[in-house]
Amino acid sequence: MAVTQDFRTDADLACRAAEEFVSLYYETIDKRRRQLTKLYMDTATLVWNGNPISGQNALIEFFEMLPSSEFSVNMIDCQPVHEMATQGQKTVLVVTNGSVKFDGNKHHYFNQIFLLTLHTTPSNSVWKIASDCFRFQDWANS
Amino acid sequence: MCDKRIWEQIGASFVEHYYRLFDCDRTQLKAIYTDASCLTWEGDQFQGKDAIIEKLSADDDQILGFQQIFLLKCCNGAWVCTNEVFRLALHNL
Repeated sequence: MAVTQDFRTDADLACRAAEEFVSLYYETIDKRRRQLTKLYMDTATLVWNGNPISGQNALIEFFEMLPSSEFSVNMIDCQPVHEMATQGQKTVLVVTNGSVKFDGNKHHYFNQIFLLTLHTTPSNSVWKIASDCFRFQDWANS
Repeated sequence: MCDKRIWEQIGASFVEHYYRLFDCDRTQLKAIYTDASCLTWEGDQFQGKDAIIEKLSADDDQILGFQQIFLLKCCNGAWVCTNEVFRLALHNL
């Protein structure tokens, strides 16, 4: 029974963290784009419609180039990742679905997958992106 | 470059294996989950291989587009699925 309760606690923590993170992420990408890479770990990898981008400098360059955006998130799924798979590092899997309009482009449906890890300093704890995978859902017919 | 090839191979062979078993005999998928594995299926949550296989065996409507996310971990030389999320792609019908 204890295992189930731990799992519930972990799952609740994961979902709360995920929801807060998702609203911060999309608000930042739409309105404070220059701050966005602070949400990524230094070693983070983004795969954008199949193209890999790794590290802070490459991410900064990529997000500067990306046209301004208006994201609308329809759905969030989240799960705690078992510590067996992460060497004890608190990790959450977050999946989002929604639509996005990039300046000068038509509306696209998208899905995005984040792996978030918890980074604790003496003064606070923050969730950072270790891995991010973005896809237009309607890529094939665009 | 070499690393990339390895994880692409792992992903591709997992996906081929997974959907072959899914289409032929879903009970055999039990081998890829652990008792700690999580599945989120259209927002419903399941934990542990027994609960996951029961759910996967119950659903038969796979005609629509979908997205499915697997997180794999190498455990004693075998790849197991620790986390899985499934959603139908209903937005752009």
